Amino acid sequence: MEYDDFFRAEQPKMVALALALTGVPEAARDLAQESMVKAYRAWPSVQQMDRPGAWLRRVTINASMSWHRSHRRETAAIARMGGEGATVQPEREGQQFWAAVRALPDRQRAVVALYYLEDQSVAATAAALEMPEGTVKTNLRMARAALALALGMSDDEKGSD
Amino acid sequence: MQTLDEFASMAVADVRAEAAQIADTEAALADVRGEVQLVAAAPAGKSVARGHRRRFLMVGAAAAACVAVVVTAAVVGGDDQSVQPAVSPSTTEAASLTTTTGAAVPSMSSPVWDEETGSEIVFQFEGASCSIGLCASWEYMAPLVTSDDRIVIGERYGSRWLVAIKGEETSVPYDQSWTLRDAAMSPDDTVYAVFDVGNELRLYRYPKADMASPELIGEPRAEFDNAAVVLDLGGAPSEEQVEFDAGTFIVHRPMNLADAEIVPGVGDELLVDVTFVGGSEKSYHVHPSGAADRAATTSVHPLMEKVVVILLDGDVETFLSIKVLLPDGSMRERQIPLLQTANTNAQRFVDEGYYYLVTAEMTGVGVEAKAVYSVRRFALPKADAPAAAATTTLPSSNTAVPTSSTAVVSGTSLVGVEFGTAYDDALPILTQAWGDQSRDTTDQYPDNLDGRWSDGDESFSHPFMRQLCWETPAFVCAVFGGESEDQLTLVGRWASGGPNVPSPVATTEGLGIGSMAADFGIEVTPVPAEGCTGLAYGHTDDGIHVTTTALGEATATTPDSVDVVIQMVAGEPTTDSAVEC
Repeated sequence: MEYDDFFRAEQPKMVALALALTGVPEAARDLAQESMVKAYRAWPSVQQMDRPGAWLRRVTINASMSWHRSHRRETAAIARMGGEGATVQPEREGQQFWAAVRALPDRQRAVVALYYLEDQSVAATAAALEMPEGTVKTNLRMARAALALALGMSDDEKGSD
Repeated sequence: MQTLDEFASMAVADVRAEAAQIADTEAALADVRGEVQLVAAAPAGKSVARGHRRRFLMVGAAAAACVAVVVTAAVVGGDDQSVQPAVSPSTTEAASLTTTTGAAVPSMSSPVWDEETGSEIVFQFEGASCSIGLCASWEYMAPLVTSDDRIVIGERYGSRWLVAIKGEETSVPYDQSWTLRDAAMSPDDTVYAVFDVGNELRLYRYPKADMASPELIGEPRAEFDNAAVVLDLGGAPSEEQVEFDAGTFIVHRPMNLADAEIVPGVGDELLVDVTFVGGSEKSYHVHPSGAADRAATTSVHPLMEKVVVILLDGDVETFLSIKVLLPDGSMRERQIPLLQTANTNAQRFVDEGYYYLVTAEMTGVGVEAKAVYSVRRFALPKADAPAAAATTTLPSSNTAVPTSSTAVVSGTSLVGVEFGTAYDDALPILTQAWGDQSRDTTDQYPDNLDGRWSDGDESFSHPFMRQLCWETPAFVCAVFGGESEDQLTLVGRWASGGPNVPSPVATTEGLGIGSMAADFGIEVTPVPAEGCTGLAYGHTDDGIHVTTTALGEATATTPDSVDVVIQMVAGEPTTDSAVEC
C-alpha cells in the first residue's frame, strides 16, 4: 500500500479517535497529524507490518493520553486558581459520553475507544492493543459499568463479540 | 431507559461527524510531506532528531531516586578535593564507582564511547520488546540503581519488575490488574511504589529492593490522575511517616544526610537553616517566586551529603522550581517543566567528577521496538578550572574539535570577513573555507517598521536577505542583507550543530560548537519554562550569542556546567537559526 492511500484511509479515523480521547478538536487534529508523521517517517517498517492500522491506533492512543494527562493538570490548576480555562461542561449528549470515557483509567479508556469508535470485536480490540482477550473483556466490563453509572443508564451487553 | 450501547452509538456518530469536518485530509497530507522534507534538511542542532519528538518530561514521577537531581560539579568538587579527571575514551576497564550515598554504578568490562553524546556507556542492556505506541503509553520507569549493583525497573505494560545485575535479568511479576504509577528509592535501597488498584491508590514498600515482597503502607486512597511518590529525606520525624496530598504520597524518611529547618520569613521569604554532614551550618533566605501559599508545599531533600534542595511547586503545576543550596554558601535555581516523555525516563546523579545518566528508552518501531537501559557517564570539568576570560589560553578539554575547515569567528566577522563586506568580496573567501554552499536562500521584507523591515511575520535589518549555508555536517551560515539584491553585505552569521560534531567555526579562544559554556566563562540563562525546555542562552564579551543544551538530554535537569554550545550567532540571525524545542 502506498503511504498516500494509507493516509487518506486512516487520517480521518485518527482524528476521530484523538477527538474522542481529548475532546479538543485542535488537539485532535494535531495529535492525528503527529501520528501520521511518525508513520511517514517509519513507512518502510510500518508498511511491512501485519497490521499497520493497529500500530497507528496505538501511537494515536498513546499520544492522546499523554496530552490528556498534561492538559488535565493545567486545567485543574487553573480552576483551583479561579481562572478561566477550567473544565468545560459538555454541551451535547454525545460529548457527555466521551467526557465520561475520558474520566476512565488509561487501559479502560483505550479499550472503550477502539471497541465503540472503531466498532471492533473483543478479539479485534485485543489484537489491536496486543492484549489478551480476557484482559480486554475485563477492562470493557469495568468500563461499561463505570460509564453506565456515570451516565445513569442500563448496561446491556452489545450484541456480537 | 436508553441503554449504554444505544447512547454510545449516538456518541460515535457525533464524534465521527465532527472529525470529518475538521480532518481536512488533503491539506494534512500535504503538510506531512512538507514537514518531513523540511526536517530532513534541518541543521543538526534541531531537536527533532531520532525520529520522535520529546514532548514531555515528568520530573518527580517515575522513579526519581532522591527527587532532587540538580547539583553542580563545582559544588561536588568544592566539597571534595578528590575529583577525578575525565577518563579518556581509550580506557578499557571501567572501575565500579560508589556514590557517597552508597549506590554503586554497574559496569561493563569495556565501556563504549558514544560520539553523539560524548558519554561513556558504562552499562547497557536491552529489555523485553513490545510494540511501540502502546508500550510508550505505559512507559518503562526510570531505572533505580541499588547499592549492591542491581538495576530495578518497573515495567507497567508487562506488570512486572525487571531486576538486572551485570546484564542478567530476572522478572518479578505483580498482579496484572494493578497499574504501576510511580516509584522512588531511598538511599538505603527501600523502594516505594504507587499502584492503581481498581479505583484506589496504594503505596507499597519494598525493603532492600526485594521486589517480591511488597508491604502495604497505610490505607488505600482515592485514585488521582497524577499519582506520584516523593521522598523527603531530611530532618524530623524520627521514623517513616507518610502524607497524602492530591495524588502524591510524601514519604518522610529521615536519613540524617543533612538537617534543615524551614521557617517562614517576612512575606514570601523562607528562612532555611541547614546543618550539613560534617557539622557546618548555613542559613539561607529563599524567596519563592509566585503564590505565597506554595510555602506549604515546600520540602527539603538532602542529596549525597553535599547539597540540600528545596522543591517548590509551580504556579500551575507545569513546572518545579528547584533551589539548590550549596555548602559553599551559594544557591542555584532552575525551573524544570513538569512534562512527560513518551519514550524515555531517566534519573541522574553526580559523583566523583562524573555526571551519570540512567535511562530507560524505547527504540525502534513496531515489531523491532525494544527497551534499552543505559547507564552513561559524562566527564565534568574540574571544580577548580578557572573561568576563562576572552583572552586566556585554551583550556585543555572541551574546546572545539579542530578540523581542516574550522574557521575563526568573532562577534563581527566570519572567516576574517567583517560584517559590511560586499557579497561578491565575501563569497570567494567563504567558498575557500567550506567549498560550494549546500543551501542558498533569499527573502524579502517589504514593510519598514521603525527601522526594521518586515514581511508581516518576521523582521530583518534590510529589505533583501540572502543566506548561504554549508553543511560540514554542522551548519555554518552567512547572512547577507541590503537595500536590493545587488547591494548585499555580510550582516550576520550563525553556526549550529550537536555536541561532539566537528565545529566549523571557533573563536580565537577555541569556543565552538560542542564547547562547554562554563569553560569560557559564559553564564547561561535557561529559557523560560513556557518556552523551550533544555535550552539556555548566553553571550561572549564580543557579542556572540550562544545557545546551549544540557549534555545528553533535550530537557534541562542537569548541572549548569554540562551545558554544551550547540549554536553561535553573531549579527543578524534568520528564522533558520532558531533552535527548535
